Amino acid sequence: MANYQNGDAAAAGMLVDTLSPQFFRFFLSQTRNRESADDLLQDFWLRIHSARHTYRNPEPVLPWMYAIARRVRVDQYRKNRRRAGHEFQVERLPDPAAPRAADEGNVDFETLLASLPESQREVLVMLKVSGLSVDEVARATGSSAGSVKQKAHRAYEKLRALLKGVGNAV
Amino acid sequence: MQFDVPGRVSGATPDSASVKRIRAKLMGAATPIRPLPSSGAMMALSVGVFVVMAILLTIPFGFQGFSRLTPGAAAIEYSAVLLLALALSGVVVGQMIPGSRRILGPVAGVVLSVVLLSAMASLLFPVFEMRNFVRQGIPCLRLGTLCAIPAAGLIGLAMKRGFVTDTLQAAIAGGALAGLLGIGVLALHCPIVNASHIVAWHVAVIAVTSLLGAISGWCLSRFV
Repeated sequence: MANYQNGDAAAAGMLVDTLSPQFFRFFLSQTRNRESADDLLQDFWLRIHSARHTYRNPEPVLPWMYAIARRVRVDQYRKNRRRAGHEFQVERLPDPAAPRAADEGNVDFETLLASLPESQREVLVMLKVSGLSVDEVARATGSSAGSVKQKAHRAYEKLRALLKGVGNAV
Repeated sequence: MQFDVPGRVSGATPDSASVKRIRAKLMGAATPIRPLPSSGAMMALSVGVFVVMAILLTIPFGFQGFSRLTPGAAAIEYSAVLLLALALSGVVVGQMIPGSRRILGPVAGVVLSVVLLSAMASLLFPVFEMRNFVRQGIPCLRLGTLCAIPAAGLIGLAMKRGFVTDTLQAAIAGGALAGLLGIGVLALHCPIVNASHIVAWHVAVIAVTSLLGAISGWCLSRFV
């Protein structure tokens, strides 16, 4: 990141190659749509470029990037909501397919994540999919470590209850 | 029963053409930039500007409040305002830097300021005279709030140098620091050393400006 700030083009390329999959998964877990996640990833890197002066070298880079990623996602959500407010449905759309909750005993992680509230899902993805520490998640979300632990705990409780329900059904 | 962790989310990869495009764009635009100074340096600069602005804004109205205080009371009152200015500057700087460690949130900063300033006024000036309470109070609230406006503009410009990730929180923090500047001006100007007057009309400035900050932050995040 420091090399990127110094204008090293190769460092910029390396950052994009190394971190794009991780942030794509973060956006995918929030939007559950590949196209939207790709769009968000592009927007994210443009924001990283314009905000690169706000990174200070010895500080951990991932919380800085995740804080920007969250902002990108929130902006996109608001843009979509505003757009949805101006649009109206002209005809009845086909019913969506039933969620793939239990498929011969396999439980889809994505479906389970989707059942969580957005703040809990975000914390869980950062902790368990991206591998950030509690302190790093607290920095990225602008909250306290206690609040992150509480959200993660609630998410685990909810997932445990869901898995129990699926187990009983199977 | 299996728990399918490496499912569609955890194993997904972005479109390679899209990544190549981003890569080319960023590599083409990679130019050297100067990172922001350390948080400590920005906080020190902010407190310096706070002091200079408070003095400059008091000059047209006069320093009657300063001359009414005993040296001990002045030292305690101005030290408390400076300490809070440092703390709120830290909150504002934290809002400008994504992923920075936040010890004090903007709302907690406002509550701390209100509690500390009210307690200090009650201990330093234990007079609870209510005569001309509203007639004397309204001009103080108005002056403090008006003095906060240029400070809020300056804080807004400074925040544009950073990258605000939460507009609402940042606007509350900015409003609180601007309001504290208004309180600083009143502490230098207002000659009324009466706890009820200070708590109700001086300390109220920070509550009003934080609320105005919250409203403007909410509007910015919703409609801009």
